[in-house]
Amino acid sequence: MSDNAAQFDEFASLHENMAQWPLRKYIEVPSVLEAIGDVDGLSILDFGCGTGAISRMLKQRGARCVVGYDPAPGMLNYARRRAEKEASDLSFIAHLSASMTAQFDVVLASYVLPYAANKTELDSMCGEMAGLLRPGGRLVSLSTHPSYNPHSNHYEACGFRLVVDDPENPYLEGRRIRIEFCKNGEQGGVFAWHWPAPSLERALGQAGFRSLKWRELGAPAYSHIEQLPKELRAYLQSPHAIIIEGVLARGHAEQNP
Amino acid sequence: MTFLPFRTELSGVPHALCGLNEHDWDALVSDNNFYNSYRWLRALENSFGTTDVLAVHGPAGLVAACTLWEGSQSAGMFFLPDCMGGIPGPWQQTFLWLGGRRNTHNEIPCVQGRRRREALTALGRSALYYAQERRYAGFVMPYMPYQAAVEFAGVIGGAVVLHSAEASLEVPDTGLPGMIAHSSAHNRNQSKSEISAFQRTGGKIEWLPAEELDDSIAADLITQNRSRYGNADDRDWMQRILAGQRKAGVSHFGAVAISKRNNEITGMAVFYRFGTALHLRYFGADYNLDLNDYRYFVLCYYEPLDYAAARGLKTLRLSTSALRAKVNRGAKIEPQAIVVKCIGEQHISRSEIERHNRCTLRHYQDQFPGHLSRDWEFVEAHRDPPD
Repeated sequence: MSDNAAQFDEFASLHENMAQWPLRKYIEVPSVLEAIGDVDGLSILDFGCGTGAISRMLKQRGARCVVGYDPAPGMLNYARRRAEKEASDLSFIAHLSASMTAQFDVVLASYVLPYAANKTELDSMCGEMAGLLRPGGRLVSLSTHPSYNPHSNHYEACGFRLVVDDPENPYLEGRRIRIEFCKNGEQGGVFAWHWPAPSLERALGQAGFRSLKWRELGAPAYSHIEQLPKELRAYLQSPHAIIIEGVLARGHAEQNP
Repeated sequence: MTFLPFRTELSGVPHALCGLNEHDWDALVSDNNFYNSYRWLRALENSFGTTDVLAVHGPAGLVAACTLWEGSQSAGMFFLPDCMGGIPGPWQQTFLWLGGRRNTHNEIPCVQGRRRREALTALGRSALYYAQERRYAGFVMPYMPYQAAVEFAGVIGGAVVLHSAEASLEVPDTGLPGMIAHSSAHNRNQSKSEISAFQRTGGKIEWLPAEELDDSIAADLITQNRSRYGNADDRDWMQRILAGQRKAGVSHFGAVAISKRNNEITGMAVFYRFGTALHLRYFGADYNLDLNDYRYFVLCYYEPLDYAAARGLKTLRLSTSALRAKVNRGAKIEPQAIVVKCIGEQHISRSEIERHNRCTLRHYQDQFPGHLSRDWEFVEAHRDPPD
């Protein structure tokens, strides 16, 4: 397991509790689900599933098959145990196998690409995601916004801080960001890395993704943004995350078996 | 890559199990450690009363925990002098016991990864504090897998004493035929002949979810078996245990293999499925029926292999008793140790422990050659620091 995955081992309960944080509940998750669209009958791989909160939602919404993948044992154990108790017909895996190649209609990667520590890891992640999809299958990725607000306290009202290693040049490729969780006191933090839009488009394109679309987050359940709590309205003025969608080119699997 | 340390201190204080989140707890529990899972421990509380819990929280949530009890005051598997194999020490005094009540497999539910050692250390520290406050002579955690025992003893400055062994069987993808194929000719013939005898006498097996089990029938059969081997607890006691499990939701994990002959129940084995492991817990039989049909072996060792293989399970956990019978039917034997930490001036002779552990190792090597798990190699290689 990489250090990047290992840093999540003790965050299972925090990760699960975050599903109830207003930012995740009213903005991130609804935006991701809206981007994925109707899941009825689809086969979905939740890449970097954490404790499986979104995997469970996708299954409840009618996905035929949902597989959660996460290399952090602490996260995966939470997801597995809970699925076992809730008999939710989900499977959670720590390793991707060759038998999973080209088996999925959708790959969801919620906050996965920002944890690539260098270009090689970024390329490798994108390649793995592409390898899982059927030709024409879709990637829905929630990633760091290319123009997130680099002032460390900007997102504090939403429960976290982004502390960049190099505040003078926060948007440079591969700059390290420490994400500090502070919703209920200081709750620890993890490292992520900034990948500007051209870097992500290059890596995704190289992996075989086409028709890349950048989709800003919203609050789909609210018809008027004024109805949102103040901190979420402020967040949407300068969000830290964005959705990237891509379609796996037909013929890609044949070229890259 | 290096990471910044977290700023929040770990702290251990006694809790009640009901005050902790079930999912947070179980995320720390390995597949082999079912008897320290949340619902099992709650079931024990339902049957025997509540117990204190040591819990260590990091900044983001629970990182280590275990329940507490006081062991048994009469001879047997949970009587400290009987666990210590003649090593001199204050074993007649009262020690605090870590782990589930009367568990024969204990690992500390603990986070994996880079802060595991820190979490275990904090748990050990809080156990020591708890024991000192209440004037225990020290604390022990029995029936630990050897490597887990060495890890825990290492962080608390405790001693590791081999005191038991448990059997487990890797489930071949092909189930029973796979196990038989890998057995010696003698054991293969024995297994085939036992299965044939069971079938010849009209025996059939049915599987049932534990939630559908009639507890009164189960309690009756299990009690018959327990009394046959000297246990004095009656049918009501067993029924209380099963009721406690049902209330805690343990039955959700249960699967019961039932043997029948002419539609009459002749025996049953109760298993719990946890992750990729299937844990054998109870065997019960109607001994009023004079049958020599090997239903114990069929229910406990043969049928569950097919059941487990069909569900992608990897290990059949067979506990600590009747090791010879289990080995002859494909099981491997794993070493178990009790971790001991005395308080104050109490001194345990490391050389005595070393001698005891060597003897225990030789005993199992002599008794079960070719059937020992790889953990015994760690026993062979491990040397406690000298006195």
